[in-house]
Amino acid sequence: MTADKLRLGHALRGGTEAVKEAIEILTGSRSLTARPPVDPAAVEATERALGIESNHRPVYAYVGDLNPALGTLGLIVQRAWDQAAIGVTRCDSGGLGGRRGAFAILKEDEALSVLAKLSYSGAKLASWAADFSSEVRSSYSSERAYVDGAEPEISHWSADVRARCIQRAEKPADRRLWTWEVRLDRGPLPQEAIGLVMSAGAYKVFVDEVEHDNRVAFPEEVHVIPGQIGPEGAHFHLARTRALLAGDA
Amino acid sequence: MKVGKFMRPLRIVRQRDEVVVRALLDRPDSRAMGLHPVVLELGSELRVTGLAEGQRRLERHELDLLLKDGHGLEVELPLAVGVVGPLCAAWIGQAFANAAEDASAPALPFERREMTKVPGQGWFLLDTPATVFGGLDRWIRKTFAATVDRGSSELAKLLSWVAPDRDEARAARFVTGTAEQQRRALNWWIRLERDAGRPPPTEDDLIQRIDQVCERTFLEWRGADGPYAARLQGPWQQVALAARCAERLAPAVDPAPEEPEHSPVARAIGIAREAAVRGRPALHKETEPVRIALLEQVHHRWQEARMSAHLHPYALHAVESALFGAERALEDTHLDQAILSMHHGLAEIIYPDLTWRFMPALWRHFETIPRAAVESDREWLAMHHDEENRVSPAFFDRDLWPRGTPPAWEEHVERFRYRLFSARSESDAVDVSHLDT
Repeated sequence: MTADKLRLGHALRGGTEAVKEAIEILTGSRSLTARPPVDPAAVEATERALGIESNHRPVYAYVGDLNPALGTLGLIVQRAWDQAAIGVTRCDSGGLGGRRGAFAILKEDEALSVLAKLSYSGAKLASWAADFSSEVRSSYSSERAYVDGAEPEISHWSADVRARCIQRAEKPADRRLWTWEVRLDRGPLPQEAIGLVMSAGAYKVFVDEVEHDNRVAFPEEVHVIPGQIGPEGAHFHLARTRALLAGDA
Repeated sequence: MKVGKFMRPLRIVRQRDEVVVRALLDRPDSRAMGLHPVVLELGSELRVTGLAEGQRRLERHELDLLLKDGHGLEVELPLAVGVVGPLCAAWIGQAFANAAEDASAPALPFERREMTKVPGQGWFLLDTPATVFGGLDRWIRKTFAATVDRGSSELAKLLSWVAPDRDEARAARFVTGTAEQQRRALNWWIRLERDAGRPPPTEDDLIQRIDQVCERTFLEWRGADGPYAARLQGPWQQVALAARCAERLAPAVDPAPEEPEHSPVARAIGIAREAAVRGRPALHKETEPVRIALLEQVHHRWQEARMSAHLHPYALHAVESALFGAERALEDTHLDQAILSMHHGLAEIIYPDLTWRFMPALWRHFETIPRAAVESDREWLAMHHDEENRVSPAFFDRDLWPRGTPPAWEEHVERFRYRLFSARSESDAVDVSHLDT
C-alpha cells in the first residue's frame, strides 16, 4: 500500500467573493497566496516555533483532507504541489502549537517541543512522504480509511504525544489530531488543481458565475463537486470528495 | 447540612435551560433561498444540526474560525421553549425575495412575517430539514411549471438560486435558454455527471431526462380526442372550427394586424368564416390571391428571418388549412390539418428553438389548452346549428380561449412576432431578452 497518490486539500474562505477568487485561481488569472490567520494567537505562536517569518507565511494544506469540514469551498490538488512544500507536520500544527481542542491537555512548552518533533523542514523534509506512507500503512486498514477520517490504530504510537491526545479526546475525535499538514511556499498552479468542492450555497454562486456565463472558460480537468440538500439536511461530505482526495480519477 | 433520607442531588439549573441559535452555516446569500445547517448553543456546548450525517459537536474556536472565514452567518436567537429538533434554517435572501416579486414567481414557501429578519440580508426560520426541504421542493415544482408555461428566464434563474443541481432547475434553464445557452447547459450537465463519478450521459439522455421532469410536472394529459370531423354536423361546422384554429394563432403571423383589409391572414380567416356561415365553398378566384399574398408576405419572411433551421411554419399552416378547407369543404375540410397545425404552432410560438427536440411530454402539455378550446367550440356547435348545418355568425363572437388563455400568451406572441418580422439576422433573432416577461 502506498499513500503517495493521496491528494492535498486546501480550504478557501467562504462567501461570494471567495467563489470568484477560486474561479480566478483555477483559470490562472490569480494566484492563491497565504492569507491572514483566522486564529492568530495559535497560528502566530506556532509559526514562530517553526521558524516561519511573518512576512513569508506559507499556504496550508492537509494530506487527504479538506478542513474545516464545515467550510463552504475547497480545492483538491494533485500531489505534485508538494514540490513547493517548505514544511510538514504529522497533525494540525496550529491546533497543536495553540493547544486547541484535544491538544489542550498539553502544557505550552510541551506543545511547542512536540511540534518540533512532529514536523519536517530543511534536510528532514525529504523523508516526510516515506514516513507518511509508512504511518498510513501501519496505522490504518487502507489509504481510504485515512481519507475517511478513521481513527488510527495507535497501540504502537507509545512515543507519540498524538496518541495521548487521541485517547483523551471526546469521541468521535477531531481528525486534525492525526491528519498530516503540508505548508507550501506558493499556491497551486492551475494544472495542479484537480477538484473544486463546494457547499450547496457556494455552488449557487458558481452556477451564476460560470455555468451561466459563457465568457468563463473553466478548465475541463478540474472536477466540480457541488454540495446538496435533501430531506435529511445538508450534505457536506460527499463520497466523491473523498474519492478524489484518495487519488481516484 | 442536614442530610435527609431522600435528598435530591445538587444540580445547577439555568434560568430556562435556554437554547440559542448562534449561526447559520453554509453562509446564506442575499440572492438565494435554501436550507442551511445551524449552530445551536446548549449551555456551554455547541452543536451543529441540519446536517444529513446527523448532528455534531463544535468547539468554540471552530465556530469562530467558520464565522471569521466567511463560512457562516452569525445570529443570536433564543429558541422558544418546547421547540424540538433536529433543526435547520430555511433562508430567504432579500435580493431573492425582490427578484421573485419582480418575476411574479409563485408565493414563497415560508411566510416572511413569521421569520427572523437579518437586516439587509434576508430572513430565516427554524424547522426540521424534512419540513424545510418539503417547502422548497413544492416551490421548485410550482415554479418549474410557471417557468415552462411563461417561458420565463427570470424564473429559471430563481430556480438556480434555490437548487441548481435539481433536474427542474436544469430543465428550466434549458427550456428557456437561447440555442447557445441550451448547448452550454447540456455540456455542463454532462460534465457534472462525469465529475460525480457517474457515466457521462449523452445529449439525448438529458433531453429525455428534461422531458421526464415535464411528465412528472404536467399531469393533465387525457389522451387523444380526435378525429373531430366525425363528431361534427357536416362540412361547415368543420370549416368554422378550422377557422377558429387559425384565428387563435393569427396574431403571431399576421403581417398587418392593424390593417385587416391589407392582411392576407385576416382575409384567409374571413373567407373561411364566410364559407361556414353561408354554407357555400369559397371560390378559387377569391382564395388564390390570398394564398399568393400569404406566400409573399409571411412564408418569405419566415425564410428570411431563419428563425430556426428546424422550424416549420405551423401557425401559418393552420391559416392555410382554413383557407383550403373553405374552398374544398365538400371534398376535404382540412380540419384535422388545422387542429394539428394549431397544436404544433402554439408550441412553436412559445419555444421556437425547441420544438424539433423529441420531448413528447412537454409538447403534450402545450396541447392541453388548445384542445380544451376546440372541445368547447365543438360542444357549442353541437347545440347550435340550422337544418343545413350552417354556422351562426355568433359562433365567431365567442372567446377564442373559452377555457383559459395559454399563460403569458400575449408575451409569447410578441416575442415570436419580433423574431419573425423585426429580426434581421439569426443573431438578432436570438436576442429577445428585452422582451422577457
